Amino acid sequence: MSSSFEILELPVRLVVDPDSVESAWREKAKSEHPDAESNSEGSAENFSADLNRARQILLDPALRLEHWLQVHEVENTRTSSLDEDTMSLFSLIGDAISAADAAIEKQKSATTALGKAVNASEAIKAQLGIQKQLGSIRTTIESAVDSFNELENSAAEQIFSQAVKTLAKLRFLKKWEAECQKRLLDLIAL
Amino acid sequence: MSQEEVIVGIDLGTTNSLVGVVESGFPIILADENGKRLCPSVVHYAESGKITVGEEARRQQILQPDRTVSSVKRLIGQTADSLPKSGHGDHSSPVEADDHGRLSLQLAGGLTQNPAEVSSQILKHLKKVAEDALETEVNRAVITVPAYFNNRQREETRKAGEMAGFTVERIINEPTAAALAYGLENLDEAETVAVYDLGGGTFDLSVLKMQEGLFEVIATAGDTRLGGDDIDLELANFLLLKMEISGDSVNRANSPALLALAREAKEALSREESFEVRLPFFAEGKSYETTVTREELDGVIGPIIEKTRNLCVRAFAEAENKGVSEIDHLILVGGSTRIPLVRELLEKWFGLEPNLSQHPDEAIALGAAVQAGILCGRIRQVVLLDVTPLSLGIETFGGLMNIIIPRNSTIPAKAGELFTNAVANQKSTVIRVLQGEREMARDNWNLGEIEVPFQPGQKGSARVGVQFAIDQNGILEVLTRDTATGEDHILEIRDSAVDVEDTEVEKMVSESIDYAFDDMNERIWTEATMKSRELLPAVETALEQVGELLAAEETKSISDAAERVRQLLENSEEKDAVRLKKANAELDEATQTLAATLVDLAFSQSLEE
Repeated sequence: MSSSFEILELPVRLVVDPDSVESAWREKAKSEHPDAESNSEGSAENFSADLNRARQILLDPALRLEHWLQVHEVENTRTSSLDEDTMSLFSLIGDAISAADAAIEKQKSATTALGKAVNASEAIKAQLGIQKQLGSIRTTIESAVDSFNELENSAAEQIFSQAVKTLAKLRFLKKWEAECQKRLLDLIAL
Repeated sequence: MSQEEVIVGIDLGTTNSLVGVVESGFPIILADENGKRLCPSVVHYAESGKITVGEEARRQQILQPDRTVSSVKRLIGQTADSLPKSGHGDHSSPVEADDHGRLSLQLAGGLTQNPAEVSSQILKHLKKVAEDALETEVNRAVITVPAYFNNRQREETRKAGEMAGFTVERIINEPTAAALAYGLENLDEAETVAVYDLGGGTFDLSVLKMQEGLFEVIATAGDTRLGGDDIDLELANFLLLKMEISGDSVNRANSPALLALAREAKEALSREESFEVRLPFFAEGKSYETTVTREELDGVIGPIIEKTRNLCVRAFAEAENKGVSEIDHLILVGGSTRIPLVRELLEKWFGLEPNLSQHPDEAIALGAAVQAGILCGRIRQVVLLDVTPLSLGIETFGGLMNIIIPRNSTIPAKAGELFTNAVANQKSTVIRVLQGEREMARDNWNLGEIEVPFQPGQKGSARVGVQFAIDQNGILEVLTRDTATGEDHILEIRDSAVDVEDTEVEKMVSESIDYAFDDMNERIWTEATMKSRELLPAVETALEQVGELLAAEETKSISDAAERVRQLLENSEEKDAVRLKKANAELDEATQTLAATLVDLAFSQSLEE
């Protein structure tokens, strides 16, 4: 099966420019789409799905790193331990999430403006707490992405241990980001 | 292009349906023999066996409600366990479920029809309208569905199309269709639009990016049970209360007339400030009349419109996550967006002047015609990329939902999952397939089960890759690849059995229009007491916290209003629902400044920290 890099005709690089992924995808999506005039047969549907998947993989740091490791045929063990900084971030996130869940629960049962106003302070605090953790998560993801260049350099010497560790870390961060994002949406839409 | 290859676009709506086609590069709606383009989605089954659809069937509904079906879209693809817990009078006929939870409508004379069969009658009718108008056979169609329809609802809609004799070329989402109709007029612009689609039975909001003929849906949110039908029912309940008619006197025979009156009042109040309602010979042969104002209508439907706000906020936030921060136009479609309050609230909430360039009833059918035109080559240089509205997942250990394809993924989409045998020589494993956003598997839509076969071998030795693919129609296909031969096999998604003997399910299934009008006084009393019990302690807490910031007379008027509520609540033998509701509203009103002061304080305190 072709790699996502091949599908979008991009070089196999861990460091990518999101805009170049988007424009490569858009060009191909238009010309290879099952409905496009150059493609009157419906058989392109499968390729279209591969194309969408390739874009999704290359735009997401964790998926991209995982895929890049696969392309380099690196066995990726799922049991890498987390560093201390990430662990302490995790406990802060846990607190913020339980505070958010409590506030969401309360606000959902309130039906009057005054009832909601009485809970407003708690809801705002919960929202700020979640936003703060989301900020930390995103900074941590960014610094991991910043290290992609080094990972690529090590790869030239067939060293992948740091890359495997970074992947484990990114997987956790991504999961927590989704959890926080879900709470934030709930809090905004209260 | 030869005529026989024509593909029509169909908007199969809750209240009305339309059919369109592209002629000379432009989409048009086709009219029936009476020159009517809008066909009421009502089907009448006469004693003689004759089936009529449309305006004539709608007239019959008043005369023979037990032989007529309307709003069937709210039932299509639903199962007994997916119907809402409380009755909402969606459908005019009693519903029964089989042991897989599949629903069927029970009509007079022992006639039984499932929702797809009823829908296929509407589609058959539209097929004939198109054939008469185009003077040719029409066999291919694009059919629209609410963006938020799940897999089962889409599949049933496609089945209805096939039963009507169509090859269903594509199922497309209604707000996306509306965006196509809008975008075709504005092909040169690069812009981001939101389509707000509030129809007869469903609500959707989609955010799209349009540039150089590429229409890309970024995010979508919705509710497949929120629309004009809910407004009619709320208004009908309000009218009963105002004319002092007991909910007990509403039955299957007279409820169509009541709902028709509510709809008439709603439509009139979109144009005028007040409306005279007359209900002749209604309960026990008595006649009733009253005047209803737009302000009263707004009060009744406000909470319903409010529900769309959260869904909009969600879709906008998701779009922002995907890099879309600015919406250029907010396009309104669907008949219910004619209501002035909808337009006012949208402008107030989002600071965007609603774009009314599209015909509320016709835009979706026109867009379906555009997609049909793309598929048969009559329209070029336009490509549509839609998303799947709901996350797709499987049930894992502990009853949790494990997401495989997240919502708002561009379709077609696919993702693989590897399964292995948990014990030696296990023949297969059964996987439950789900759609939805909830953490627990049981809170999501259950799409059915697949059985993944294993080769015999020791524990963990069998490895079978399963691919979940969502096609252009938003419909799921599950494949396994035999690693030895490289061949793909389609896995059948089987309905899982539900326990219809379950009393809860039984209650839902036997739900009928009678239920929706159950003792109104009791319902309002219950709702009002809940509100009072929330308000009274909130007043105390709020006054404690910020009471000193208010003027003395303000505090007094709050205390007085609270006292009136307390007295009515304590005097619960009388159950004066209307007065308690009124007292609540007054207390709500009196505490507006108090609530605002509290929220301001909460914000300023959060800034200080």
